[in-house]
Amino acid sequence: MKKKIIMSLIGLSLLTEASDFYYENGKKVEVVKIEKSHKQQKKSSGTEVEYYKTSKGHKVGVKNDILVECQEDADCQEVLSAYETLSVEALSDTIFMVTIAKDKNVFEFSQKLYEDIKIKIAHPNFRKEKRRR
Amino acid sequence: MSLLFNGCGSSSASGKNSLVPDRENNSSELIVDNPNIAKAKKEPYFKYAWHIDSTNNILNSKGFNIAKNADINVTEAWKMSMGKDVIVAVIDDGAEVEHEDLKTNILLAYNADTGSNKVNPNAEEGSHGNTCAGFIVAPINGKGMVGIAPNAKIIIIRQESENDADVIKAFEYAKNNGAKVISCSWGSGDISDIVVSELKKMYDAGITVLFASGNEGSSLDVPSINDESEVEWVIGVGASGENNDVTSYSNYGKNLEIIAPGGDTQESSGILGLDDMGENGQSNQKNIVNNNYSFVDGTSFATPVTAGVVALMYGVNPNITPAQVKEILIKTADKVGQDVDADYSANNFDIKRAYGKVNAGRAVAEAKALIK
Repeated sequence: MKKKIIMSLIGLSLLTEASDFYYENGKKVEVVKIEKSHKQQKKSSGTEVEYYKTSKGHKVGVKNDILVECQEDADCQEVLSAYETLSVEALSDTIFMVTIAKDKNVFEFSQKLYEDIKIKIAHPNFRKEKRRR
Repeated sequence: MSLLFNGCGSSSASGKNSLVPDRENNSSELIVDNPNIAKAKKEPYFKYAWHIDSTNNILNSKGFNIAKNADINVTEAWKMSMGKDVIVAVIDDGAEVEHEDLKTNILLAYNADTGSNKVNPNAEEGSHGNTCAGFIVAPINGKGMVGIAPNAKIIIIRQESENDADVIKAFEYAKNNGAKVISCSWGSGDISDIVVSELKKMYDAGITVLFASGNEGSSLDVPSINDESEVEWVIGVGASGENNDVTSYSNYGKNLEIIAPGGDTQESSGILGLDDMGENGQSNQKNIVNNNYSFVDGTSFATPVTAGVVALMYGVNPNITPAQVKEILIKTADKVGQDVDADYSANNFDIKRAYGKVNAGRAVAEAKALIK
């Protein structure tokens, strides 16, 4: 019985995908996927947004797009051209939205970008609930 | 031309030419240089605008208790500016662009989610942004109410999607179209790094951004909350009420700057604004105003009230920086609540009331005094 429980716990910990985190203000914020219920899956089929709970307790949605800002002295278009992306859209003089293939892990891709010395900020294009106040 | 009128009790003991009168002196005579002030006071619902002039409203006679200093000294500020040539942006859920008390002051409309210029709310949902915009720029037109900066122009930006990219697009549109003030009455409690960076860009570009603190009556100083209103590059705004003190619902914290009238419909009348349902009417007209208007409350409305004051500051001094705007708002704020439990002994800051309540007259005078 004990063995079964331990195996189940190991299985569960693998399912939470330990590599899913993003950098916020230089620190790692871990995320755990929120599995959709069957009803939610039916309702949201086609929206492609996957929701996660962060280690700070917030719910964030992600798709296959990432927001990037490079260091001031870097040519961001050039920096991003080294990565395998589907498209790069300039949102401002310094902020770019990168779209990646749907089969890639958006958190891992964001981490890779963030760890590039020429990139200042890189995290998924989060969907966050905003409240009118 | 100077006009002589009775009213707001804002004359100074030291003389009529003082830029910053002593509000405790109740002289009823003032010399004003702006004839539009008299016109503003003739707007049909000015008598309910306690946030602008709490000594000249009739809500007390309708059973609501409005403290005599609940306003933010706007009429004094109007002697110096009504916001002419200043562009303000409201990023929210759109607005009714044909509203009788909004349309003439709308400069541009933009939907950041779609890239179109369609910002009107659908009839069932109404528009929170409608109310916010009205508090800033409702014109002097013989109809309804008047905004804090009735001669300013507004950019209505609809941004309802949840994604950060559209938030960036909204701010970029405001910046690229000349906004000097951006009012935001929403928040996530979990701002992304890229949005913080965008707010820094606004600050560096000379644009003052304001965010509402929220309505849970709770502290933002907890590790799990990283709210838009707490960002260093913005002015975080809480709400004061008809009793001239902070409201019980106003979120608070060490990174907020100011409180301003947001009203409290549970305790008193609320603050009169454009109805978020426009002509369809909502539910809080109190049998006092028509369906284009409504009594509302929230830090959502304290924020555009403050944004209006900032517009007046830019009106007298287009070259002030966001850092100076913040410094002036803090320096000139009224230290309300000291007869209750306020404690401003540490750096002039009270945890519930931040640096105090906005004083438009003093803030605009200070902004003007910086002109070299």
